[in-house]
Amino acid sequence: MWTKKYWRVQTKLAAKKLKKSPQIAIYSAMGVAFLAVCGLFTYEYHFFKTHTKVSTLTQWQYIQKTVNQRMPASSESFSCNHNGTQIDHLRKEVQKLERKYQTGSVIEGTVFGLDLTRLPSIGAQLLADHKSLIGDQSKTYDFSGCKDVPCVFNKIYQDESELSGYYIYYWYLKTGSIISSTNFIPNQESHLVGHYNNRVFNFEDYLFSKQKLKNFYFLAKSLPEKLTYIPLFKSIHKVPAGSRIEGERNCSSALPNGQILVTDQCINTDDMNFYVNITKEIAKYADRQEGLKRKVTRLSGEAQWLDQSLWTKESYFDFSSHRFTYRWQTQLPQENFLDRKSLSSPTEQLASLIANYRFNPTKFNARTPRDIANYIKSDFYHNKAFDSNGLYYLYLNKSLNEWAKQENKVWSDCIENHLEEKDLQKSNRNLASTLEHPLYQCVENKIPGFIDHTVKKIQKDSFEGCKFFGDLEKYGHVSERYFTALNKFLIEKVLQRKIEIQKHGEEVLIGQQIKQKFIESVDPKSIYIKCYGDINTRYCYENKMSKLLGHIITTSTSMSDYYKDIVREDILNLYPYDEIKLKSREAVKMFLAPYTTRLTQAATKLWDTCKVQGMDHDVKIDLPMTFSGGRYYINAKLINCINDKIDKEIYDLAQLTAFHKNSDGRVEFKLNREEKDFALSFLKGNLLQTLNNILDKEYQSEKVMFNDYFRRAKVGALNEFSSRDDFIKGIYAASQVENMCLKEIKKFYPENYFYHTKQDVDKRFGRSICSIYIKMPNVSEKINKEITSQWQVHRDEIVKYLEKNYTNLVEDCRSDYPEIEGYGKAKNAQLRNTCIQLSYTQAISESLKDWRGHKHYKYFYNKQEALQRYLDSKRRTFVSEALNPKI
Amino acid sequence: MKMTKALVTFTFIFTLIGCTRQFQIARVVPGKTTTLQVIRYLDEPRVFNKSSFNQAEEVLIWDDVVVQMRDDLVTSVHRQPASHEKSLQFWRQEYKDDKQNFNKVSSRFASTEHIWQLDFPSKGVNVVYDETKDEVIKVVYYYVD
Repeated sequence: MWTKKYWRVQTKLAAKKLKKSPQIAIYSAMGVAFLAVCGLFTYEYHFFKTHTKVSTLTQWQYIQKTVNQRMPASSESFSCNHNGTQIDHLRKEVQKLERKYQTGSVIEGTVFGLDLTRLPSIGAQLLADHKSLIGDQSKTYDFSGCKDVPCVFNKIYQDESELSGYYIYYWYLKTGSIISSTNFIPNQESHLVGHYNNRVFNFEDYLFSKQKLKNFYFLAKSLPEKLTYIPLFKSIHKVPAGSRIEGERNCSSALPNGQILVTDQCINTDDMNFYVNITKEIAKYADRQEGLKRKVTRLSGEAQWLDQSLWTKESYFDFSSHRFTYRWQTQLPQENFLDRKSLSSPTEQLASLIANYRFNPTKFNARTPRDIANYIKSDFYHNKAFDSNGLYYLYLNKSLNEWAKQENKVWSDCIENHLEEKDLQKSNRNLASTLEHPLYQCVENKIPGFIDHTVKKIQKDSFEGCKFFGDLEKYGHVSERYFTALNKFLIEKVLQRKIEIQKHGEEVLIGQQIKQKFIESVDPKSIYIKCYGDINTRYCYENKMSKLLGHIITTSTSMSDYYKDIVREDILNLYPYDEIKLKSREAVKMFLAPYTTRLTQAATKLWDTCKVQGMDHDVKIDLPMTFSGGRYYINAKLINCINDKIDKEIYDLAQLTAFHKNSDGRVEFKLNREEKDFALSFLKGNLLQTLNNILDKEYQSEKVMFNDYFRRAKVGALNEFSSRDDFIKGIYAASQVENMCLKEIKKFYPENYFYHTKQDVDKRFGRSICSIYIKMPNVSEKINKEITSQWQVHRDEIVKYLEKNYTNLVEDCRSDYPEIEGYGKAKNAQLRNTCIQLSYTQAISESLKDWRGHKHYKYFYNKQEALQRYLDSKRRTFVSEALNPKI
Repeated sequence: MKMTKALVTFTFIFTLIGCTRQFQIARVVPGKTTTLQVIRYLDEPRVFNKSSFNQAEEVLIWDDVVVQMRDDLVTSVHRQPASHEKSLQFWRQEYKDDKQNFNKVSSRFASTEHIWQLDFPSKGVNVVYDETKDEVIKVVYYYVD
């Protein structure tokens, strides 16, 4: 019925009707126009409604902020001189951070006798997740007397000043990784605690000094956002004092499974080198993490980076030693590299650039080509710079932004106090008549207080803050410029407002109201998250912000277009893209922090469930695999099970939800789809790293289990086998007994082992037991007896070979020199006899040749000389029989 | 007629497979193939130099394969792993009944990278694995006596 033809006919009929009746035409046109306008308004309304929805992260942060506001401000106790008030300041900083991570989830259980439910969730998480990295592993601790996390570390460090514990906890809160305080180093060769590099160490040798912990505290303050809460990075370990990293030439190493190892040599330097060395290792994880987001394994391995830094790789395989080797080579001039180590590989180069950009900007700027420098600045530092000029702009922009946000409040407070007529239109004549109105003076008087507050905030929050305003020699020129520029800007801004009030009167207040409405109704984080998946996130963000602002501005009809533009520009500067990007990332990282415990618990549960199903050597692996097992062998049945369940179960087990308990009950913060996508991008790699960490532990524990298990199994096996004569009966060599033992030893193996092949277990344990077995005195005596008896049998078989070969040769001699009558009889007889005698040696030689084809030759090949002697000893008998045959 | 059609189709498919790069690489056999044969199978190499690691050997480089030669015979062939070969677990499982030697690659040059090699001496196969990437980056076939 609804064919094309039908519609064509209907359209033609409608057109005819319209021609005939212009009234219908007018009504139709009006209807269409009305619907269009309605549609437009509906779209605008819908767009505004959806884009002004406050993100879950902002709502969650707002609650944390409200709670924090009830606490005394940490800046009260802050001083650049770090005198006696420092511990109080640290304590407050830590408490403030702790509250930022509260998601309402409670971690149950006890660690070192400490009830985790009594601790803030982030602190409980630290202890639950990293118990194995805390304290002397050969001791058991009871910290039930502790009321907070720093107390645990202070007891371990025996630090009465309490600073060590706070430094370590602060590092964890800021970076999501832990400074290890244990005497077991990841990947160490010995499975014994306190043993490293073939030496035995005291527990204290593994601990960082208090001064170094302080360095970590400052480092935590100064690391860029991209170098914090990297899911792939787990912990920092100091190898014991005076030792080198096992199997390494360098003083530091970032292990693939998330642990950084450092030696004293690397950290006992000046502060700047300490920061650079540690940051370099952390940057290697950031390199991988950012690579994951771009679907490459690491940024420094991307073709773009290799081309930019002109890297090529040359490899070689030595077929005689079966050794592979390779080296990286670069065409970039050596003076473009920041240190020798960065010449060794693109990864090392990128890490060095990231570290030096932050802590050694002068050297970085002098040596780094502009395109590479820009890449580091935009991709790792949100376009911030840290040389003196960069700091100047950073702090100035921060201060200006702060003013832009507070300006409304400053003006409204002053209007409240100094204008009798709150209606600006009525006071307009009065305000316009003078620039010295008390209202203006009130605003101007607030400027010094604002500057003072801003400077203190910068000093407190920024790593170089104190130096910037205190070290006049290094930063005097820029800090002075900062004060001058800020002062000038603020005075100009106030003057601008004065003029605006005089020229535009009430419009200024409307503008301020719009600004306030924008601040209250638009959540820039929500906009950023909505744009996250977009190809051009910056454009999407700026476009949407502008559209939203446009929507708010158009609602006020009483403002001139000229002043609307002024207001638009003013408001859009409130939320610059780079800053919102940074803040959104920081917020989601904080939101996700407690998620790692749940993820670890879920992954451990998944692993255990799969292990219960047991092992099977005949199963084949299912490809492709999400989790590959890294460098370890995993029984195919187990790894298939893990991969089967990863996607289905893990993320369901660990819900992305936070809670807050208040007087009205419980508030739930559940991420919506877009927020979840954004959040999960930060968890890429986290799950795999968690599984890798579990595997590391599992592998180690299987190794230890093997040692214990086989110690016991050996006794049982040797007892049983020593009475087994069937192993020895009919054997030709001890190796046969060993092989038979290997076949039988299987029944003494553990029922399940997942991380070693059967061949591996045979080689490491089975064979060693069997080799002990065949060396047992009573067994070895029996074996020797059996072998001797078999050798005698074998020897007699070869004598039969000899007999046959010699008979043939003798017959040849007889046919070559036959017995004749008459002339030549004597000569022939002599030649025949000589031939028969000499043929015996040849017969031995031929028999030995035949012997090599005998099925038991492999067992007796090393007895050739003895055999030869034995055959030779038969010469007289054989030759005399041949010379005097019995008729 | 049907038989002819099937024959033509199979001939066509086999010709196509025979022309593929993988097939040509597989024709290079360590210890047997000569320089001329290598070039015939794989075309002119991008680089043909003495190895900077060992002057007694020559190295022929293409974008996807490297061949090492000594005395005009191939000693080893390095190729990229196929997608299913990129996991070390695949190799561990594939040759689980054979002798496997797993060693860290000498850190003399690539000091900070975690590169390992899994050698199967009885098979003449050596797999190079980048632990940081969790990926097999090279498969080397070599001459076994």
